[in-house]
Amino acid sequence: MKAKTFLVVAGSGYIGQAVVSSLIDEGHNVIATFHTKKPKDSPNVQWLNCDLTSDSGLDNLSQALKGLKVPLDGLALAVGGKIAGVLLPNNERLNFFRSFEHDPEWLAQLFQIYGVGTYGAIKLALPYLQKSPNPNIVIVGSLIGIKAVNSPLCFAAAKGSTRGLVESLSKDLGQINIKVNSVDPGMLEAGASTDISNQLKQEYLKHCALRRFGTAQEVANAIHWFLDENTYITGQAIVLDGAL
Amino acid sequence: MLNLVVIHPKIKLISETKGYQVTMKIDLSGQKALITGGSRGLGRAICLELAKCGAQVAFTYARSDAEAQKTIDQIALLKKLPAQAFKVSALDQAATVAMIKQLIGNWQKIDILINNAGISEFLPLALMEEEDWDRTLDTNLKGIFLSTKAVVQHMVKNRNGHILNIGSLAGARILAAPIDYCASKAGVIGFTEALSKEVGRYNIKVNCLAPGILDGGVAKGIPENKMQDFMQQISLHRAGNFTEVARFCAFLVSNKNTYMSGTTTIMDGGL
Repeated sequence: MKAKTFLVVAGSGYIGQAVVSSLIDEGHNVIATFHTKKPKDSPNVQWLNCDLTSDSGLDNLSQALKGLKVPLDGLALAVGGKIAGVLLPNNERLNFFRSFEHDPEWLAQLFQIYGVGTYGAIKLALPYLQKSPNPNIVIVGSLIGIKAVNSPLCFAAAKGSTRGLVESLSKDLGQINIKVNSVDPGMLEAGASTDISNQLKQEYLKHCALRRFGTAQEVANAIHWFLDENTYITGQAIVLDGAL
Repeated sequence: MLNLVVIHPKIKLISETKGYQVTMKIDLSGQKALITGGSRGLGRAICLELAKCGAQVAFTYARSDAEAQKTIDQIALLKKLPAQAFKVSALDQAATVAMIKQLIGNWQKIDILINNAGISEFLPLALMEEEDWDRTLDTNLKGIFLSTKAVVQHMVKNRNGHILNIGSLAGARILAAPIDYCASKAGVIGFTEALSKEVGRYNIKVNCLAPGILDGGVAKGIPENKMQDFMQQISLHRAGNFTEVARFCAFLVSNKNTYMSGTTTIMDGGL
């Protein structure tokens, strides 16, 4: 089997780390970015400090890509963020997030991360992706950007913007054989889901047909398949929510 | 659509996938799989791919013994577990139940059911008779109900299983396609969603894969000028092939895919 090369943006997060592990376990090479805390070094992974919302971060990414001697076979964007809820004095979060209690700055910041940052990373990676025989882009979205569920407005709106980005890009990049899809997880055992109220978690379990939360590994498996093997699916949202 | 040339002047048009490699390890060893409609086309490709991944495969077929034998022979060439073929109509409830009984007797379980059997006829509403409508709806939708009903009780007993229904883009999007076919395939999506809710608590995953235009598939009846229009509109500017759809099926029913349920994935190259 010929090793491929993948770029995992936010490879240090809950889902990102699982994607990186899944890819290197099958012998592939990975360039992975982190923002605040560098994960442990491991063979076949080149870690890169990169904040996609800053010019210096995009410069770092651009320099790393310029050093590539092989085609870039896939790009995964696993950018995550803390969910802003309403904290009670006892540290319990409210079941219903109050949509207009958020600082508008928070909304702008999330669009900067999920929209502008994602756009910037894809634009930088395009010339290297088109050298691959089977290039794929996978964006980690969220269930809350696809289905109507109780969730923080700013997070749902920012994640929902992924849908338009995927559909438009899939049409545009299809002519150069680049497939663009999103993988949209429901509530997971850890990661961003940690900040959700217990009441909301119980509601989720009641309505999730599989009666459990997902894991980072389950999401990583889907991302891995779409990065590595997908040849004919593009413009799709792949929802992993245990049938909510 | 954005003009890519403005962004990257060196981009060249690539109209088909080149250098496709199977690399992800999908291990179906020890898995018992039943595929309906496995004697030709997509069904045969699914049988072959699941066998390649190590599954023990049985399939149904309705008409040609020779075609069914071809599927068996091709699986034998893989030097994997031998396949079994059952000449059972998708609409024959008694024969379906008897087949499942025999398979459970031999295998003790069925881990994977892929409902692939289906038909299509290109008739406009004005020329469509009641029996045409019934034939398509019965085969494409009632057939799924019958095979699933016969298998699902054994999956419930095992607290595990994958059911994958082969739908169609025609059941998910507005397309100029025969109304009986579109209605039946839209029904498959509803069936998938409702069943996923009903059996999720038993760890049974139910999904639908909806292919678009495939080389040699039901779309072969589409007139040439219409086909050219489709190729223009498809983002990847080509029809799909059975092998790539079958490979995705193998992923969907594998132990790598354990939190997806109730979904329909459209595999259409971006139509």
